[in-house]
Amino acid sequence: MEGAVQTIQVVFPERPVYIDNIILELAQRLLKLFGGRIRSVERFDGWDGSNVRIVVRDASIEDKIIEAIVEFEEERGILGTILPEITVDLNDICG
Amino acid sequence: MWIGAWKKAKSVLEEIIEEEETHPYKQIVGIWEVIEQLLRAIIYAYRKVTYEKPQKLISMLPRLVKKARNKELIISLQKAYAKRKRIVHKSNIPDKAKLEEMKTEFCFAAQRLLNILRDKGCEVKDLLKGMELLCRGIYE
Repeated sequence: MEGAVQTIQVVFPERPVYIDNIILELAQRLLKLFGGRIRSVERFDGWDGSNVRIVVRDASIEDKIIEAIVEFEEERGILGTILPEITVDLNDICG
Repeated sequence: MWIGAWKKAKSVLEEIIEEEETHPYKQIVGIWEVIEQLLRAIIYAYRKVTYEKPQKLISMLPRLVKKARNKELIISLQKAYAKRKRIVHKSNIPDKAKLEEMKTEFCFAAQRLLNILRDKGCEVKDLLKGMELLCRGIYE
């Protein structure tokens, strides 16, 4: 079991792609809005076309995250670019 | 292809309306299926191709359709998809409240998706009728 996370770490890919800058900016926005209720934001290649995985510590903020993401996209004129996969940071194998 | 997607949307919508509200899992899955088929029909109508991945369908919509470059519509589609994913791919068991939340997103999004299909010359009268039945009480 992982202990409490006390620091922030930004890991750069060896081959950055276009969306990486957007993800960095998005992470900054989400940190400002939701603070420690979000655990991580990362580029992702999901089976369903999702391209950003956001792990949350609080499941109740999922809808608010979606709203924040689309507002972020609209401000930049990039609607439909960020396709989130939002997951909860807990071991829910047994509910 | 887009006629097929449109027919499937209509058929699934009819099943959802017949289905009792005591089965929120089946209804939520069905409601997303209707949205996905409408998205598929729209994308095909504009591009003559379709995509398997649900997020790709959502992503293409505002790129292809000016009318869909609308923050509220994209939020609604993303919320509906997240709700479906939460119960199908996670261990969450939906209740009636979750079904009502899903219906709220559906009623907002489907109206707009049907308008886009109507603009493309698709006959949406039956789908609109079904949607009105499912959405009774949502905005009252």
